[in-house]
Amino acid sequence: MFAYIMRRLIYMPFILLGVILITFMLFQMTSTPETQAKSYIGEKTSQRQIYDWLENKGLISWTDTGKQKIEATANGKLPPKSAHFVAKSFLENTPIELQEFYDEAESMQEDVDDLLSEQEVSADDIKMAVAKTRKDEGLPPLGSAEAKEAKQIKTEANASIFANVEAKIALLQATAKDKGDKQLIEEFDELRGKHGDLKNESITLAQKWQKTIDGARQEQLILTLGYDVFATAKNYASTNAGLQSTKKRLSALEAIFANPAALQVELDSESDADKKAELRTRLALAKEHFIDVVAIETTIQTAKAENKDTKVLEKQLADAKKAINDGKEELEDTRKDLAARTVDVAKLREDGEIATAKMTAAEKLVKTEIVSFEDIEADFTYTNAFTKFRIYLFDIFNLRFGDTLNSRPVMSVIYDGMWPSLMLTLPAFFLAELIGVFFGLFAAMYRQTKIDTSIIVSSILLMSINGIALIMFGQKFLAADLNYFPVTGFANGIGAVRFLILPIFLYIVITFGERIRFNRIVMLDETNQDYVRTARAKGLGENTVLFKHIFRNTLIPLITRWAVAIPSLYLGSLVLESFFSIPGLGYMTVDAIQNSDANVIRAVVVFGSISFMIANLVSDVLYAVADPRVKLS
Amino acid sequence: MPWKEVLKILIKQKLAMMCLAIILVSTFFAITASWFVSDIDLQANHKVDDISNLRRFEKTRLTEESDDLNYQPSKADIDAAVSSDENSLTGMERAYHPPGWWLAIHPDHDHWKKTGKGDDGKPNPPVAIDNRDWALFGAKAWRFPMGCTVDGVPVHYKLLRGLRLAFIIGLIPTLLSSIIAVIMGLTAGYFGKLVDDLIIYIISTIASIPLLLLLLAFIQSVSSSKSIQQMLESMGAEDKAIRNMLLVLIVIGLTTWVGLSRLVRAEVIKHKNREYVHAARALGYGTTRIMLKHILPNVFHLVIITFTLGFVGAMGLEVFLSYVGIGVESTLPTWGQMISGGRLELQRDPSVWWPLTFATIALFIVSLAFSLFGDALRDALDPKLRT
Repeated sequence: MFAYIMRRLIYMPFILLGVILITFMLFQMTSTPETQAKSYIGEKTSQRQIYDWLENKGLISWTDTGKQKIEATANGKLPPKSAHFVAKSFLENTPIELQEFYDEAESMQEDVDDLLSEQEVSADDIKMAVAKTRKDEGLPPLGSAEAKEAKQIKTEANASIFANVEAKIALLQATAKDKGDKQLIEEFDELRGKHGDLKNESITLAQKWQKTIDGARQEQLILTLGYDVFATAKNYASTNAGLQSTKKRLSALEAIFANPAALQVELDSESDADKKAELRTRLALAKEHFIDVVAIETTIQTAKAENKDTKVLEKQLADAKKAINDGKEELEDTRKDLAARTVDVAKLREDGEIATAKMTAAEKLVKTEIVSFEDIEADFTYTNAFTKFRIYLFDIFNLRFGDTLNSRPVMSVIYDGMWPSLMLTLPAFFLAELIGVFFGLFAAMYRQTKIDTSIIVSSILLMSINGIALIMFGQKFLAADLNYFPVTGFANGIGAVRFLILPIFLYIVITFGERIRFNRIVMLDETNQDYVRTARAKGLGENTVLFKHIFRNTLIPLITRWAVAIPSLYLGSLVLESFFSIPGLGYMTVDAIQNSDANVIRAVVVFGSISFMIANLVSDVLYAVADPRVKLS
Repeated sequence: MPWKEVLKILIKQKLAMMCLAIILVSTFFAITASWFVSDIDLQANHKVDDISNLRRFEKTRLTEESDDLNYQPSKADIDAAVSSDENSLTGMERAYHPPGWWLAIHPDHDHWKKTGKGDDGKPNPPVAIDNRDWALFGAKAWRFPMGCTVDGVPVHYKLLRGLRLAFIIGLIPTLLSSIIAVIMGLTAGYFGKLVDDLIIYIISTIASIPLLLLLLAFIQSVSSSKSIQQMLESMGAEDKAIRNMLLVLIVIGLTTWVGLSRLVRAEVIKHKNREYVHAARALGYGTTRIMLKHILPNVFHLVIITFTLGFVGAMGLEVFLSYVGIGVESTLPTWGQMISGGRLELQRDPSVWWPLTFATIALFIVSLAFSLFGDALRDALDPKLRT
């Protein structure tokens, strides 16, 4: 027998390993490490947190580039990409949150005003106290022009509320102290503490807000650089267009002073095709704009010689000369303009180049460094299945099962749920066994009579009715309609009894059939044994045979059955608990299944399997101890 | 196995034969269920108070060729549509219509005077309308012998279709688990030594996990795995409800083979040193042939017994899983869905007891027949196996 027990004990770790391996395969191999991480630390986590968790767990290992990136982030060189979004949402939400604090302060002010009127503090005292505190805090006195101006700025105005309330509370405290009313003093102390908390919280929130605004501004800078480049380019384009038109005007002006004849000669002598084309356009312009002063002068000369009237011609000459003068001036101006514009364009081009360079740098920062952190997935390798299994094993041995979806530790949830479950299952199990043994003995006692038959038939009928339907009808008729029991609910301590009676009764009814069947067969087997015949032959009474001989021997299979069942009682009853809203482990498990809360299910399965397995072992050993006839093969 | 003698023993037992008759009849109805009840009958949620539904109602009932979507039925049309089919009640009247004979027994029952909607937004059972002939032996009293569901589908239609699903639910897991158990048991028992040790290790490991918890863990992990879903989809199960049900059934099959394989292994060990096996070996037959053609028929009674009892177990598990809310989806008219959905219906103020009750009775009859027949079979085939 010792060898048998030893062998079972040696088997045990292997089977335990197998059980853990099965749960490992079911829970770990079918989901990615990322989803596991999410199930452990919650859905609303950043990639960064997930990878941190995975690294801590040893489920991933970083490559060299990955390590560098992480180091850079740790040193604050790289802002995470998500910071922008965080900042954005914070900027949107914080004013609202702050406003809530201010609103609370304002409502508190009303309360304090009421209290002040209750304490019959005069209005002048209040005014004086408020003015003093405002002076201490560096706020403008109430009613002054500055205060009115400050009111335009919302935060300033709200900050002054805190000062007002503070002053008033101080005044209240003073009056309470004067009166010597201890209760009032305590009450006001509490009020002051509450107000102080409120103020501190609002201040921290405001500081945080400011910080985020700074961060957001930095990000804004990158965006602004982009706008700079755009603006410079636009400016450059318009200036460049001005430059081109000035150039055109200049060439037109130059044409006025160019002699078409000379140009023609030049064109004829020119052989280069490009220059020829240029000269041709200049010639065309010159033909259009050329004012031939010499020709007019010669005409005047000839006209004078012929004594003709030269007035018109002279006027023409004067006009021409004036036009040439104007043209010369304009030419000069245009040349200056051109020079200035050329400088402008050059400068703008330089600016543009600088801005573009800045922009490229900023873009590079955004693209290569900020964005690439999110691409960190490429910079690690998953660890192999063996390491994963080792980690899983250590987690189980250290009872680390993570958190539930409501972010409570699974272990504490299991511990809390265990007691209501035990309160239900322990009495239910023992009562059911008691009744089962009784009816089993009864059936064996009156074997092959109508009593036996009716017990068998009722047990088979009860076995065939669906348990869930039975619970529904029981709850409906016994609790809801007839009002014998509360329908659902639970209470701590002794009050739980009235909630537990019906579930326990239903548990007994549901398991009745199977139990009776088992017990009856076990007992009938014993009644056919030789020792029973011997006992009867000795002339012992039927009762002595039944209770002293048969019953004692049937206890062996019964005890082994109980040994298997008892350790898993803490898991509760999945269906009964959820029907009667008993906050035990069964209810919790059904809840977890419906919410697909993997951590809870895993913990329950692992605990259930391990306790079931240990119970199996214990029952084997008990069996061997109780019945030495067990073959030790 | 002396099958003829077994049959003789069985025929002598009246109860077993009755159970066999019930099983055969229900098998017939399970196979032919869709001839009696078509898919349209199960979707027949004709709510006349809703215009869009009325249009559908009209279309299917009167003018099946009409495609005019802007068709607005007049009052006369509605009356015509309703009265054209003498068996038809309007949707509101059919939703949660109590069994006719129940109305006949309780004509002035206060409950039936409540109309409109219950707390859960579903319609209440209708008023017992005076001008209907609710005499107990009148025709109308037996129009809906089991009442109607919330969709206005007669419960007996749903039960009949559920019977087919119940057979599928019983069959697939038990078949699968039998196949696995036979393969495992045969190899372990026949080859012995290291193979036996390995398989026994697997068996005792799986047996160390409570069945329900193993099932839950399995379904939880398998249903969340996309690759398995895709595999099933590529195998032809395109409907998601069917796919999830298949998945659950396969998982039940994969987790319940342990007990049978232990029995088979023990029996094979007994048989493998018998003369007929030695003779077969001496004749030079291959291992596979000896295992499948010589040993398997001699241990097959175990498979049959476990099969009939596993059938009932799988149907019970389906009810449990439906209640817990994994696997079988509420769109399928399984008995488990009817039972687990009955919880809220039973708690309504005019209590709607009929879908739950009749589903329970149906499940009761089928599982009783199967378990009694299985017991009789076991007694006839192998009296030693009685536990």
